[in-house]
Amino acid sequence: MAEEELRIGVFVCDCGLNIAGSVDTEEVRRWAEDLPDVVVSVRNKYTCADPGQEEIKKYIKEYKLNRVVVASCTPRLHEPTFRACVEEVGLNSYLLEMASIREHCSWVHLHEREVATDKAKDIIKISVARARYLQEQHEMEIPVTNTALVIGGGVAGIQAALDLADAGHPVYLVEEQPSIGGIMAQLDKTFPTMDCSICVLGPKMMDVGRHPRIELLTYSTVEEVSGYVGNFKVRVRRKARYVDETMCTACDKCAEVCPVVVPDEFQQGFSSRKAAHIPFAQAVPSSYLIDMDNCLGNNPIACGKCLEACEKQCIDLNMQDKIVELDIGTIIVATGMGIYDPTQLDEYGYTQFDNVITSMEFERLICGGGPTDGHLVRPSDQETPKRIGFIQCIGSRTENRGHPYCSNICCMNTVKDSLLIKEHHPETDIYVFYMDIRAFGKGFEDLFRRSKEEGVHYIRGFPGEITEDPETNNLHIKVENTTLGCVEDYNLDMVILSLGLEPKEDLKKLTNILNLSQTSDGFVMESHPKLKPVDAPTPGIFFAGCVEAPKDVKDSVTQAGAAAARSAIVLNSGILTMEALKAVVDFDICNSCGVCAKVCPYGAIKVDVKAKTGAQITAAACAGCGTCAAECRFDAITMQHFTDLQILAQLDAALESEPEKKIISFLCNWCSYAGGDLAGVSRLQYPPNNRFIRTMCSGRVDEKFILHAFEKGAPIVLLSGCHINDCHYIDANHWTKRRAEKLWKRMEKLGIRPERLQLEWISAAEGPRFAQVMRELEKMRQQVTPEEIEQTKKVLAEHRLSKKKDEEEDESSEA
Amino acid sequence: MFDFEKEINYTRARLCLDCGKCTIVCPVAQHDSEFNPRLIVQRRLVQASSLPDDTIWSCLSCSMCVERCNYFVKFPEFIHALRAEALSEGAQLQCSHGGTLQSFMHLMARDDIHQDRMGWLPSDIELSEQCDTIFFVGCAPYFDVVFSDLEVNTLDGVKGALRLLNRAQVPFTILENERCCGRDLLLQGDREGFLALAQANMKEFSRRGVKKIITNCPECYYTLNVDYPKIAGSTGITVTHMTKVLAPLLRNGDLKLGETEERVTYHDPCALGRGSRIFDEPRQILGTIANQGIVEMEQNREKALCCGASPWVHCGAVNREIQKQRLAQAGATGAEILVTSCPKCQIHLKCAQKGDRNVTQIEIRDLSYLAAQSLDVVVAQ
Repeated sequence: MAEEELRIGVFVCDCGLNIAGSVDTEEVRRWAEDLPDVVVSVRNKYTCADPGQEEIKKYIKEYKLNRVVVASCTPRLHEPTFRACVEEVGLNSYLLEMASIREHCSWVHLHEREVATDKAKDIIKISVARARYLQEQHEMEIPVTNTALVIGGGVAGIQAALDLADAGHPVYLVEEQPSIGGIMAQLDKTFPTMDCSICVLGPKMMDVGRHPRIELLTYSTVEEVSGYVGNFKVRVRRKARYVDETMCTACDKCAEVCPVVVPDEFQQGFSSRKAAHIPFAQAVPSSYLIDMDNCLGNNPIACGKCLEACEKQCIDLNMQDKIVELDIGTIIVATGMGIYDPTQLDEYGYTQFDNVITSMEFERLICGGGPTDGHLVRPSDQETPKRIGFIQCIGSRTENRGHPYCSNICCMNTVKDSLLIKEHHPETDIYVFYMDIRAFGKGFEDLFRRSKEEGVHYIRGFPGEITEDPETNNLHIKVENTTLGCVEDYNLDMVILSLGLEPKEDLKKLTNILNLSQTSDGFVMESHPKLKPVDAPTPGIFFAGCVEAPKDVKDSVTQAGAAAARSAIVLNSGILTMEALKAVVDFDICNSCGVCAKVCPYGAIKVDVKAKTGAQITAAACAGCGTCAAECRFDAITMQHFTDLQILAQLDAALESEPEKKIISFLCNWCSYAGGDLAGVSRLQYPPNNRFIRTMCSGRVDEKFILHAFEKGAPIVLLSGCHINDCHYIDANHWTKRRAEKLWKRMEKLGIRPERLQLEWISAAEGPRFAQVMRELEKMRQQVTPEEIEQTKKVLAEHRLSKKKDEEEDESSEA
Repeated sequence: MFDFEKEINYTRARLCLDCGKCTIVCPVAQHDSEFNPRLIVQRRLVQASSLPDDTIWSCLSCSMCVERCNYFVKFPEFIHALRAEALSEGAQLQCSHGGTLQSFMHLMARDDIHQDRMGWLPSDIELSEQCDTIFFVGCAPYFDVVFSDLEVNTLDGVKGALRLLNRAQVPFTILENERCCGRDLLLQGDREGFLALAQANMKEFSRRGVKKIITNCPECYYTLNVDYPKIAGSTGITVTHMTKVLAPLLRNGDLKLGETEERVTYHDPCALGRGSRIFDEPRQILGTIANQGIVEMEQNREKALCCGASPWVHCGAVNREIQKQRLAQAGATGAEILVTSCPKCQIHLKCAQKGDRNVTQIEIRDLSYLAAQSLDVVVAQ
């Protein structure tokens, strides 16, 4: 393609007095006219207003402009506005560049008109330099498979599946257990309304079972997920039930004859079931299965009684697991949580004393569908306990055996349980040992009040130990009543440990399959904790329920609805348009080393390092952070719209005149650049020597850019991104950090003071810190002597030449 | 200077949940309703004016509370800081044993002190003069003089350890001008006194090019291993407890011990057990000697009850009750010997036994001494 002649138009905005008050915009406009390839420079009072936009369109047509630089506010504010504007007259929107002379200039140098005017010129010069290398980009359109996958069939998964199916989308619901229902199916009552758990959940389970658009895959696990939003390929293993669930009528005949008796997990081991069993009465699908770990064998000589008993002949002891491949548009992860195992808290004697039970065990003991038909008895002697204690925060709020977070539901669960006991046996003495009762939700405080009115004793303090009277199996608790500051003794018949929640044991396996991250507490990490709480950082994946954090039924259902709605946005669109910020591989250069695949936070790059077939980037899965391009030693990866050429041109422009007075700051779009915007909006004044280079992520900043800046005479370079763990590209800034650390060592070897490269994490909320960093950088700049700069330039030039020579020699020797 | 805020942050006291578990497991609080670790923290952190809090002198630094605390609040260190603060505000220490031990410690910190540090050394012990490994003796030679009325022979443990090292051909030497490690001054809040001793010792270590220290005393071990690096940064010296030296020698067959018929129980010293997490090695050693095995006390390992020791201050009825309780636990096992590895445990438990026939009169012996005695059995065989 022949290079077309560059025709750049510069549009300088007054922004009323916002810019013109501190910058001589007319002087800037006139000056911009003389920049290379600029064919017209226009000044406008309000460029973003309709007349301003009309003028841009008019000049594009009149002057046949093929690049547009708007010098006004931050691109984070009006880039979409001006992109739409230039598109209207047929100019590709990626040929627009913005120069932020408001947030980064006029507002932060309010009273230094001359200085601000000079800086505005420099900023425009940098933008024009970049504009020369801008290229047309075409946004990618990808088709969306109108099918959702919901992983996990607890209340959150059930609700999400129903919402999506009711909205018209086909849904696969995958549940690892033989029945859907999850933890909620095991609860007796739910707080704060005290309604029967299975009575409200059961109908929803049935709705799932018969919904024409929901395909239910129980006793199944997700084994592999590939692809990207709209186009996931999912492999599901359907474990053999040994009973054909479509034929089974739940007649119970197989269980009647089955000779194998094992503890019933659903009843928390308080009663038993057979190897041929149905998980619980309300199970969906309403089908039996054979527990092959305990079955005497699929050999008729060994047993085979069930085969004879089954009239419909739906038992097949030779059944095999089946693998199902699904095409999926969006995925909702609703795999729930684990429950803390109190075995390690031996001071509370869970493993030693029969009458120390867990809150989950209590749910079955008090439930009408439980092993005692709802008669509350204690395990040691089947007597009704008269004095019951609850201990709160078991496994929560601790760094010593347990988890540091609050598990959210245990306070209200205990309040609920205390009222259930009082309902059954009003004369029972109940003692709740707690630190704080967290009754924050709608109707919660009211329930807590009712519990107190019923005479439940709330004692602030955690017991130090529990001992048992071996004769009576009664329990003795010693606790400091911290309200009174004295040690108290309690003799109790039964103690209930109020267990906290934790991430599911095998969550790590699933996050690996889905390429998701976990927060420090082990639950899955959201795209944004406040504004995208049900989105995974990977597009097309959403969360519902306790997989994200401990929460109660209501919050799980609410979140499920949100995840379904977010999911439906994608499924409804039919086609997704993606910003053209993608990494592209040049296969002529790529030598399949695999580094890019290693650093990609999205797993969007696959490299077969043995076959040497080059890095394969799934464009739809690429989020555009540019880390791969920065890490590629061979420069085989181009980051669209943030290319090496564009960034090097910006550096050259910034350091063309008086480089010794300039500080180069690489700022990531989401945090540090936004922090700079906030400093501007807040009118925080700082020295004018900084020149900003925006990249989407700090991970994009190649060490070559930094060394180039130093070679061009920059005294100080700042590398700045989101705080670690706040990266908008999952964890790309970890690579920024590693790169900076490596570079410091290299600089030291080359005799360049490492302090001249600064690394700062600045968030979008840290305007004052941004300004402070700018002031500190200026102090550092003043410490760098002209001799030091010259020496660096010399060293780096030699270094670059010798490296080039080495490479040439390598090439010739290879040839 | 004494920076209280910094010390508080180090102790994590601000993380206190206020749950009172510490009060329940604290051995002092069990016998003294005035003593409440939770309230000591709350009073000092919440109340603006710090009223003199006399209960701070009762803490044993046994770390039982830390073991159970949800946030691992370093309560003993918190207490040491409060004591240092109290001393700086003019509080008076009630020294036990007439302040003799404090005098010894302060004397040892002086530059012009010339101790007869080697007088007790048996002639058959071989020292390797130029060796960069030293055996840190500790205050046993002083203890045996001060507590002669209790008939403690804490030097037996030291001599036993040295015999074992000789037998296993582990080379070492002893410093002629070793000083007290300073732990008791640190515990009672005398920062300056501790610092003087620590610096004197460290100066000598570096003059002699010491690379490794072996000690039989758990308190010396903890102090040299944990507290010295805190003030000096990394000392570059490896500090090992005798049981950590002995256990691998036995495991690898480099040292053979004899056996004893007597039934034994093992008392974990706080600084070795909860403080340094050394629970297994002493039991491994004892296990090879005691052919009837070890009978454990009701409270053992992480939950072991303290001997009721204090840093030679404010010793009283509560300490005595704790000692009796511990001895009763030992008695209940049916063991004939209570074995421990700490001279201070021996002193405190023997003190409780003295003159009170109602207190369990079980024999108390140092682990290294017991192991060294068994060597004779091997020879006899």
